[in-house]
Amino acid sequence: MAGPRDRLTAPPGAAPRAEYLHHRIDEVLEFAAGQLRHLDDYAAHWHDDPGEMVRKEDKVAIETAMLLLVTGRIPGHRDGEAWRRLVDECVRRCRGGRVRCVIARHPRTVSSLGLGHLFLSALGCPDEDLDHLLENAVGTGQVGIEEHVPFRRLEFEWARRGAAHPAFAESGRAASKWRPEVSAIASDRDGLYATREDCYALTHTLMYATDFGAAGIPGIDTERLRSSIGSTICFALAIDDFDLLGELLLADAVLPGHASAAARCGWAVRTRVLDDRGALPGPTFRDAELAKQEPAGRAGYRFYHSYHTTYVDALLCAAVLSRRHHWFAPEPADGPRADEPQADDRRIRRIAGLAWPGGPRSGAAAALLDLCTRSIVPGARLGPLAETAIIEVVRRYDLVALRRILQEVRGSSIAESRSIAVATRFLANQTALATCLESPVTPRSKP
Amino acid sequence: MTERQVDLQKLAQELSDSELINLAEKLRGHLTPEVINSEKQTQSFVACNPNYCVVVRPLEE
Repeated sequence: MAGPRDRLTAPPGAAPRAEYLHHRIDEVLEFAAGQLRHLDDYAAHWHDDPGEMVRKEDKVAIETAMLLLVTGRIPGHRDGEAWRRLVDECVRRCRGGRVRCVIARHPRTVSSLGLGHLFLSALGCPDEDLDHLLENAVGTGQVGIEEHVPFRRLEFEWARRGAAHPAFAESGRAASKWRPEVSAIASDRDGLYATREDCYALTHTLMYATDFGAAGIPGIDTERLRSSIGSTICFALAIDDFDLLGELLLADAVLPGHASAAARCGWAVRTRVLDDRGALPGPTFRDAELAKQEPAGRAGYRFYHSYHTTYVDALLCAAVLSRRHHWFAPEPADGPRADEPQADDRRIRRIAGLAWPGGPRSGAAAALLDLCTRSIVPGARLGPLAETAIIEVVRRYDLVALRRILQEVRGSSIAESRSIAVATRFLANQTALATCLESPVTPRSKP
Repeated sequence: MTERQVDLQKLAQELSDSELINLAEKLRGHLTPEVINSEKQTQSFVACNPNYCVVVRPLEE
């Protein structure tokens, strides 16, 4: 799709131009403004449980308010027409009568349904009546008492701090209890063993703990954390999940230091697919499901299964904008000790043949392979490509291909890397089954 | 690395391809593809949805 974006895009591997990033943020804000005015029509075809306190349209409105809050920090985006329309929509939806009623009846929803109000307050749009309702809710002692995963609590504390709401002075104690050493960022993450839930815990923790890159986290080992993020970026590429990829790139971009080789490859893949398609695919979108929708519900289906990935991309661009020259340093944070480029090329082709015989079927793997084989991503291409390939063969449990990939990287610059050590251990652990698994096993037939 | 891990890594190199394939088949007899993958298979957007860009257009277009 040729358009203004094509003229603004920097070569893959180079720091993106500021104009490109601004343009993309504007594009997402216009997308949101164009879609939110249809939200009531869309929601008529979304099926929430009648007992659901936070409906799908609430989630969309709250996340739009967050989008405004984060992108609004970038000078030049707060005065546009799309911006003003979105603020009006968010005020109407995040502070409507139903929201007030639910908060009065169920004070605990302050930490979910109330987030939109807090984001709007942080944007400089106060609402004293709703402030009083929140004070009343907090006064019950029932706000924040439910069990939450730690990053959800962190999200609420981040919103509370941003809004600087006096009603939450007491709950400020909870924020001070958050400790990075007992959070999702304390453990090493390997893409080979990753799940989406693990990855989202990692990304959300970093977004809120760093205030989207505005603050540091004292005492963390940035290099080690970046290694975990890089490994899970390869997981996102292997499973073709651009929503997760965007969040992981954002997690890398909010850390101090330079982007890892995996993050540079991930950014290049994201940019390639966005340029080619005009949009980033949402991971839950299904053609078959779309076809099942009534004609009037299809636009809402498309929106619901794409908006989050699109919003994340704007948050990513906002984070990259403030430090793009540092993040896109001439060489990635974790290398490279360059091999002979031709040797890398041969290895990349052979590894790709093992992981994706007949060629990759997914958009992310196809873009990654193309970028790597044509040396469009400079520097350490072999590591991210090999790790993505390893995750791919492990996901289909092809132990022969895994062993061949491990043999292929012997003597290369990544032979001693963490990802290869993890994959080597994985293969060894599977062979332990050879001595303890009964044989033959009758495969389970599907009902 | 423990001695046991060293032994297992050695074994991983010594097994023939057919033994590795047989081992994988045994495991598949116990586990569903979803468990092996650890994630539900995602549908390939790029391969299947050439009309995706309608998402970024206003409805009336």
